[in-house]
Amino acid sequence: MTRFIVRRLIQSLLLLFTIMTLSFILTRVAPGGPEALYFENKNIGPAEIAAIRKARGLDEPMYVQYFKWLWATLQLDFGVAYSYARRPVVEVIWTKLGPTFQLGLMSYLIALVGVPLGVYAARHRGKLGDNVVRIFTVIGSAVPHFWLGLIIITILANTIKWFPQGQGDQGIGDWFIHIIIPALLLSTSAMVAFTRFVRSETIDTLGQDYVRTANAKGLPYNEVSRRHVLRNSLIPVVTLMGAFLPSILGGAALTESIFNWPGIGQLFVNSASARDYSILLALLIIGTTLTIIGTFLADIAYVWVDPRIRYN
Amino acid sequence: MSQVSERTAPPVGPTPLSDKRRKSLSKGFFASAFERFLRDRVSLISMIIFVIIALLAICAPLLEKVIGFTRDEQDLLNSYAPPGTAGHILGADELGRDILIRLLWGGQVSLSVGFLVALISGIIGTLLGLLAGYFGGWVDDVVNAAYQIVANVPTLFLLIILGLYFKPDVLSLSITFGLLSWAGNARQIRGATLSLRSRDYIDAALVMGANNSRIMGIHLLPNLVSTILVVAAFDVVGAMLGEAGLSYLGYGISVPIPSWGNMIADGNGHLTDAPWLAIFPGVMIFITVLCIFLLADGLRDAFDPRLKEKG
Repeated sequence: MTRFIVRRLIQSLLLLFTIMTLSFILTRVAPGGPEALYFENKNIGPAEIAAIRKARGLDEPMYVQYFKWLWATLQLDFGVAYSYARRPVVEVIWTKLGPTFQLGLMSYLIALVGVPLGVYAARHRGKLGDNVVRIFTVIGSAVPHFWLGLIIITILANTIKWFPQGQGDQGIGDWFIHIIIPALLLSTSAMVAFTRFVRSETIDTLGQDYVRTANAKGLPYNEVSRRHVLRNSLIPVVTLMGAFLPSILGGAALTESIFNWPGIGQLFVNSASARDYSILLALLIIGTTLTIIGTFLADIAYVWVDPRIRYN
Repeated sequence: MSQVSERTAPPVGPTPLSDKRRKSLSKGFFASAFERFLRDRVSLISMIIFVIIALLAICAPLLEKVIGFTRDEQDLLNSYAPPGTAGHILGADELGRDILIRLLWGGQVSLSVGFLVALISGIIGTLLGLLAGYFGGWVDDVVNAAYQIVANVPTLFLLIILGLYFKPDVLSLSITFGLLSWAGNARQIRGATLSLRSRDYIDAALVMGANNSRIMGIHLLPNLVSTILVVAAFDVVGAMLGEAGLSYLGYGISVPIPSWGNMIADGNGHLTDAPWLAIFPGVMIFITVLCIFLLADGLRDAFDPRLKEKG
């Protein structure tokens, strides 16, 4: 087990390093470079651009820039955010991380509803309940979530003259009614995946010999479904949770923009229109790091909960 | 998968080397899968609806005459015309452009992006998955490294950054999108290849002296077609939804070329006073994606009837 963890850890670090390098190259080969925004401003002459390049260290050779950047990034120094009054990027992102964590965590919690839904559908296979769940999953996979969000906002605004905007600052109840709709939308794709997955997994498990044996031994129905079926069909959900981190983060960019939720998704979209490459680069790396950590933890948990899997 | 049944087994003894094969009495794998597909009512209906939508989108230039407006024709006197007024069946936008004809043109864009992305990620994913599954070893490691990179970067973030570099058109957006979304294809094809390559007929081909490219191209690839098609169909779903989201944020297909995503973005500011601007393109995405999703589901069941049995 220890060897497996060390191996996966080294792999993850290598992966992170590669993606960091690629991201750096990506933002530096941008047409016009990181100072592209200034080219569009007719009032800024070439002399001023040269001065700006010098001040930001952009006139140095690429490899010097790269190592300086790498060293700084390892110390969590992502530079200054020019679109946020030169505040340190870390500081800007730090204030936005909390809301996104709330939204993401809430979405995961809601998505876990897919687990009982999947079990329910598997137990009532082919019957009305199963079909209802199935229609729900199909619709959930086909509807553009951001559009559904817009429609919900419109309906709420037209009927009860209220719609969720931002985080809500009047206590926990206010916070809850503000987070629930964006979190619901953000969770849809993960919930659908959980439902479909758990359903087919449970159907698989129900057909296993050991379940038949347990039933034949006369164990109570609930005992069998809890100890023999559920346990074995829930294991893969752990890995799925890790796999959905990138899509939750990407989805956050849309959901947060629509509901004006002050998280990193909205920050990303705003920084893109402000062409603040230092924030974009930092967010890309932070998003990737979170995903890698998520996948890593999911892998470990997977091996840990299921002794049948060999880790090599 | 194997089409050689008892009836078609070659006679014992040296087989004459000839291209003529005895005609099989059983239906082929694809013919019977297609038959199963058509027998499923949901798949059939979604295919019909999808074909109608696709045909309407393709015929958009011809339908301009029928509808009476061209794609970018402005009718400023009737801006924000509600559906059914001033000759605009589905209403008009802020410049008085007809929503219906723009929806058809937008359908061309959205469908092209969906299918091009599926094609590109399908080709890359199939190639890499096949190589990784067949050769294993260091090839597998290299493919896995590339897979990890693509799978761990938030795609939408990356596409937004790329959208800053150039104004994407249908082709360039599809290429960048496709280059970032082959991970799922590669994993599925690799898995399918792994299970196929331990079959006896691959060993037989190896023993007969077939080289690697022949085994991959002639023996493995045809048996992977069903997997490739099903994954590609789900890719279309992902790409169409992705394009819509990206265009909504303003980093996908940009105006005046209409796509269903940027039409929703156009209607964004008028949700309460002119909701039809945003509702209709969303409904189009929903119906089209729903059909393709059901098609993909039906395709998978048709290729592997055991899945259907399972549910």
